[in-house]
Amino acid sequence: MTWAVAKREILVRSRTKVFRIITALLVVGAVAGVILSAVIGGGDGDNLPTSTIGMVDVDPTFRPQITAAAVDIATIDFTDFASVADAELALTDGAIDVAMIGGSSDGTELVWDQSVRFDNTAAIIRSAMQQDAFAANAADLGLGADELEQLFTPPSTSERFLGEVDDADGVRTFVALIGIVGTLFLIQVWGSLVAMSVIEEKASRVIEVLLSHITPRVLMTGKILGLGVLALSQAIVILGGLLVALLLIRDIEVPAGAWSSIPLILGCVITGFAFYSAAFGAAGSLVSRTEDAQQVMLPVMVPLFVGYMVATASVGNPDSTLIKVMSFIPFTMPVTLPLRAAAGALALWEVALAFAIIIVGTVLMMRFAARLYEFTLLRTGSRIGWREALWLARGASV
Amino acid sequence: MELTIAGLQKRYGDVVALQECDLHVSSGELLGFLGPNGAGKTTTMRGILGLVSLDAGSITWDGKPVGRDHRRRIGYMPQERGLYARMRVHEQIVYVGTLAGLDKAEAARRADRWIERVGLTDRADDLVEELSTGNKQRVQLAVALVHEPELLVLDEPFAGLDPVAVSTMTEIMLDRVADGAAVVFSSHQLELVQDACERVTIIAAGQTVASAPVAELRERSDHRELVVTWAHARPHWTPMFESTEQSSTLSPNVTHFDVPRGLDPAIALADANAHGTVVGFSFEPPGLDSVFLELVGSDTDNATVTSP
Repeated sequence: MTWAVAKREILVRSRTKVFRIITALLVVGAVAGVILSAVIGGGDGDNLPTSTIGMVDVDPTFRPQITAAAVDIATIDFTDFASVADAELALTDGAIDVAMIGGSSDGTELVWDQSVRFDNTAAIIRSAMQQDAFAANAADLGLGADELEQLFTPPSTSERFLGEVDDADGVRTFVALIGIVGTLFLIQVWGSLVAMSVIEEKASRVIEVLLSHITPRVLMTGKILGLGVLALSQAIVILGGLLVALLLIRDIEVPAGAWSSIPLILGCVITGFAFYSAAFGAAGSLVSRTEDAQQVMLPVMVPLFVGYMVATASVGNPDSTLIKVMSFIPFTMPVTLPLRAAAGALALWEVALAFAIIIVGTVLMMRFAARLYEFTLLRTGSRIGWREALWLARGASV
Repeated sequence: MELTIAGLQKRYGDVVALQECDLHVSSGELLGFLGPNGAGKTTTMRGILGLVSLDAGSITWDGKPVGRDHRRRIGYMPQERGLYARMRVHEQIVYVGTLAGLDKAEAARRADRWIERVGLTDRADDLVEELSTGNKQRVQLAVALVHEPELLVLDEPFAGLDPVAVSTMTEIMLDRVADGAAVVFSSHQLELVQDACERVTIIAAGQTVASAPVAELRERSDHRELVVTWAHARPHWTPMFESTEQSSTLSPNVTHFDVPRGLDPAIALADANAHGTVVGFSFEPPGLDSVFLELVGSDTDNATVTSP
């Protein structure tokens, strides 16, 4: 029976134009964002800075050596100038980063604008020239290419880091933050829909027909299940579009650390949605007109936003007592726990406890909502205050 | 199957909705549930469906308190119609059918059948919000009937219906009764109730004031309706017996009196004959509408009794 209710929610919501258009827009937006970032950020996907060297009287055969020296550091463009004056003018205009002037007996001269921060370009040129000089000197000494290579083979080293600060940590925090923002939006948007769905049924009085067949709890559970499945499906479609676009267009490599955060974030989204949906359902049952929805939904959203703000403010300090406490409270757990987990400051028992609390909290919240639903069902007209609601629910259990 | 309601009480704060409501209906019976607005009909019906918590009294189904299993065998049509505006007619009926415990295929088959029965075959795939009030009401009836319940509880099923729809609705109700279902319905259309129902229960101010066959209630009345039809325009006639002339006479050669039950019709006829040529004479118990007014008192708060 619960599933029948859930299926109806899925069927009716998913075929509305609003749902389809919004889902399509979000997918298109995600893909477009990736394409846009690829265009703006340089199509080669290497993300290297580009430097332009103005050359006056420099042998063009020297260019490949500079390009080779810049590998993995920068992409180098070259522009030829007829005179030193022309090159200097381009330098002041910012058209080139460094001017390289050859042909003099004193060797090569490098010129750059003093007002511009010194960048790596000059060092790259020097390094290329050094290589060139080494090769020339080696030839003078009668060394062949093989010997030269032997001479410049660096000693083999291995590297080791102390402390836990590594890249994976940063990636995990980043993923956790995205997860938290996603959770916040999902709960807010889809939780509100649970409330609206409850209000619609009250306003249209279809509730009387429904409750003559099923209990309020079945109705509430089915509603949350249906909208939850739809919410997650939508999120998966959007994230899937984003991921495919990233992999195809930007050819990124997903850092290994990213995947390990997913199960926990998913757990937080699902339990958080279930818990908050029950709260939104309770909120919805307090009013009988959609116009009154906003004022009862606001108090439900406040703790979620507080949790979110504390979480974003605690990125550098994930071990504060405040966020620790909040990660165990069902109202704030979904948006705080992922951050603590990302910082690695979480024991397994803490995760288990946090989930246990929110699951129990969800069951209680569902009961509260169902009870309230039963009591407020046939009251139409004026809004029922939260205080009166608590009283009603308590009175019902006596 | 027998449904018995005894001593039902319900207060909403200071307002007493039900004081002492009794009602009884059994299989194969069509029961009219009458009362002025605010008398407690809807509260009683909601009580049967478990939609209100009652302060006192009992509702039993074959002697056992009505529970969830019984309620699955009830079809309910609420007074304020309740349908999903954004669902298609067929879908909606199937959905309620599955909630009532039918499997999907069976629910779909029955939905088809009831849609045809209420005359909405060509609108089966329309959204409910696209339908007229009358058609919505037909859908509402199909929703109440889809699981072919043993008891039908219909709260003002005729309100807002055109005569064609009224007759379809009545036919379907009588069909269900013939199939052995029990039907309770509330209505203000007393002429219709008088024709369709064998028995009625009347409540006023939360209390059952009468529960009896329509004929018996009419018979029990202290009044009789005396109607005399004259050959020509009605003469000026002040009867020699106690009487109240009814002003609602339509034809110019008909006189209509309200008289005590004990009056001998022969005396009345003789008196009439002394005043003109009588071509028609009737001496009958009053209609259900008059009986209703006698029982609930015409000055009851909010009492609005409408006869079509």
